[in-house]
Order: sequence, then structure tokens, then C-alpha cells
Amino acid sequence: MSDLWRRTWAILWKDLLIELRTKQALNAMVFFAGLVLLLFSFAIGPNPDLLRELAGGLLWVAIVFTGTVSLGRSFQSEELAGGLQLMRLYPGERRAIFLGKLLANLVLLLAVEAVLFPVAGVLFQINMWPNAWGLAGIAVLGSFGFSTVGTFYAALTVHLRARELMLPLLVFPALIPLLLAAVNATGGLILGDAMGQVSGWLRLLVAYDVILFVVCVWIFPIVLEE
Amino acid sequence: MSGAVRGRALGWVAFAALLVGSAVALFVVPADAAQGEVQRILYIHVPSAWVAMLSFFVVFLMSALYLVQRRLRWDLIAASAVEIGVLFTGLTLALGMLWGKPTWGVWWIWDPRLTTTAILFVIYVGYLLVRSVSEDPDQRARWSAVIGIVAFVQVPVVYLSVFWWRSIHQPPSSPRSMASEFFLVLMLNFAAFTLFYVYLMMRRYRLAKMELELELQEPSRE
Amino acid sequence: MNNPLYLVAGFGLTWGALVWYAWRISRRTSATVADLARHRGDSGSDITP
Repeated sequence: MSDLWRRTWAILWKDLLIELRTKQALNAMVFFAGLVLLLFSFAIGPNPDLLRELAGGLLWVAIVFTGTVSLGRSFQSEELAGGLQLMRLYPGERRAIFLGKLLANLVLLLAVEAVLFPVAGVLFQINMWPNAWGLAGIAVLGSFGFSTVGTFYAALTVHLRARELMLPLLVFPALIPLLLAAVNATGGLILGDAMGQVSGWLRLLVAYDVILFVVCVWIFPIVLEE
Repeated sequence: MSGAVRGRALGWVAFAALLVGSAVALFVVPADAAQGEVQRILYIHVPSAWVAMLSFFVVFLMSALYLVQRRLRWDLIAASAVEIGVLFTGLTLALGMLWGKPTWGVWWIWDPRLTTTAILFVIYVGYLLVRSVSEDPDQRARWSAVIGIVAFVQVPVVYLSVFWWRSIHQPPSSPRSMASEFFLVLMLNFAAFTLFYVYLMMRRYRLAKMELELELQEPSRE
Repeated sequence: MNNPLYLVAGFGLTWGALVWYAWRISRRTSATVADLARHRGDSGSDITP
């Protein structure tokens, strides 16, 4: 078991180092996320009350779009260098690949959100600080679920034709429960949870994360078979 | 009777059952007091939804079987079940909307069951699309099986989340409570639809086997 | 508000879809049988097990 963690850590570290060295992907992701938020603001109009009410939804759609667009990269660097072939040879390493990449994607996404939430606070005139911890918690839970499902389908679609379309096509429907939970929990916190709903949504979020994580981890080795 | 003749016989029996079911639903059973004539659509809407769910369960079973045994036959059955499941899901949605417009006044109201059905439609169409861009039969089978399993796991989660989402904003509008004679007609159509489903599965699987043989351009050995 | 059109559309669509699909399978099956026969050089033998 500690063997698995060691390998996971190795892959996680490798991927993160690549990102941190150039910060290319990270910068692009942050910028993209902000742009999506901006676009939504223009689409909806400068009504501050409306924007505040929709803020939870807009934030999470921006996160999902940003995450999905950057998932394609997740296995691409290995694929180009032929690295995935080498990695597959080690027995029991396939799950480590999944976990490592999942965590790498998670870290990057959380970094983006650390910037995106404050930006949304500014754009939508919301004071996030009183709920900072709660929002952070929702962000982590939501991003974890996203990374689980996203990394899984990213690996599956890596060899498919029309991969850029196939990935969102598979990921988006799978994310709907997560989106519902995250949006409503975030919105609930921001708008002052009048009906005490947030805890219920959080429970759904946790249930989603657990179920999908277990299933994806269990099935993942088959995805990488050759 | 040979397999082909049996299949054809089943086809005719199923067809007849569907005819009887529809005839009874349309002309024999009295109209609902509250909803009027449109309520008759439910006699085919609900069985349609049932067949779709049954089919997706079959996909789940076959996907698991394939991953365990790696025999392409299970993959072919799964693929047939997805295609037929998608057909009935689409039908369920259309019928739901045709029932909804005269009942609610609008074509769509985010009813939890119908919304979940719409999401399932998208999920399994995704399965079909992935199959269509896969070229190697074994790879295709593997990916399909994986998607087939993960998709089915999603079903309860999706339903629960959508149900909860909608229950906050409005009480669920359920076309459900039925008197006993209505229930019998419903059961009749359930049976007819299930029979026809089995017939379609048999035919579709046979086609899938032949198409695979053609694809491999040599006789398949099982 | 009980326009019979919805009923007609519903049952018509259902019958149309089911019959169409069954016919589609039948047509594709015949085409595949023909293609298979051509490849094997047989004369249209039925492949049903």
C-alpha cells in the first residue's frame, strides 16, 4: 500500500514540477477562467443582484470549463514522449498513475480557484471572506470530484479520434450531480443559506466524491490496458 | 423450431401484444377524470421508461461480464442494449413532453424523472459515439465496458441530486397514482413492451454478430 | 385543453419509431448477409447459429 503511495507521489511530483517550471498551463488556466467569468457577466448584464444570485453557478461553470480544457494536457505529455508505454509496464503502477495525475490536476485547479473566487467576489460585488473556510471546503470537494471523473475520462479518450470533443462529451453529463451540489452549496453560503440547504448539498457532494472515486480507481487499470 | 423461426414468431407475438396494448389504452379503458384523454399517453410512456432502464441494466451486466471473461459476445449484447436503450429513452422523453404540454401548459418543467431521463440520454449517446470512433474491436469493447459500468453507477447519483434540486423549488408533479383498472392496462403494456424489447435485442444482437464477422472478414469463433 | 393531436402524435410516434427501428435492423441484416456472402464466395447462406 505504501508502495502505491510512493509511486503516486512520484508521478504527482513529476507532473507538478513540469507545470511549476514553466507555469505555462497554470497562467493560461487562470486567464481562461477569468475570461469565462467575464463573458458570463457580459452575457447576463450589469445587474448586480442578478449576478450575485447566479455567482455560484457562474463560478462553477467557469471552473468546469477551465478544468476540462486543461485535462486534455494531462496525459498528452506522456503520450508524446512515449512515456505512457513505459509507465504501463510496471504492475500495480496503473492506479498510481491515476492517483498521481488526479492529484496533480486537483492542485492546479485549486490554484486557479484561489484566484478565481476573489475575482468573482470583485466582479459580482460579493464579500467572500466571512465564508472563506466554507467556500474553500466546497472548492476542495468539488474540485476533487471533478479531477476524479476528468482524469478518468481523459485517460480513456487519449487514444480516441476526435478526442477534444469526446472528453467534454463524456465528462459533462457525469459532472451534473457534482455541479448541482457545488453550485447550490456555494450559492447557499454566499447568499446566506435561508433554508439550511448547504449541509445537505455538502453531503451529496461527499457521497458523489466517494462513489465516483472508488469506482474510477477500481476500474482504471483496464483503461490503460493495451 | 430453428432460431430464426423462433425469432420471427416472437416478433409477431410481440407486435400483436403491442397492438392490443395500444388498442386497450386508446379505446377500451375510460379516460382519466382529472387529466382527460391525454392521460392515455402514460400507458406507453411509463413502459417505455421501464424498458430503457432495463436495457441500461443489461448494459451494466454485460459490461461487467465482458471485463471478466473478455468474450466479444458480451460486448455485442451490451452495444445492442445501449442502442435500444437510447431509442426507448428518446421515446420516453418525447412522450413525456407530449403528455406534459397539455397537462402543464409547457413542453418542459424540469420534472426530476424527466430531467434524469434527459441526462441518461446524453450519457448513453456518449457511449455510442465513443464506439463509433473506435476502430479496434477489442479496444472498443474494453472502453465501452468501462463506460457502461461507470454510466450505470451514475444513474442513482444523478437521480438523487436532480430530485433534491427540484424538491427545493417545487413539489414533484407525479403522474403516478392510478386506480386498479388503469393499473391493469399499464401492466398489459409493460408486458407488450418487454416482449418487443426482447425481440429487438435478439435481432440487434444477431446483426451485431454479423457486422463484427464482416469487420473481421473471417468467421468468428466463439 | 385536451387536443387529440397530442394523443395521436404520442401513439403515432411510438409506433413509427418501433416499426422503423425493427425495419432498420432487418434491412441492415440483409445487407450484411449479402456482404458476407460476397466475401466468402458462398451464395447467401444464412449465418444464424
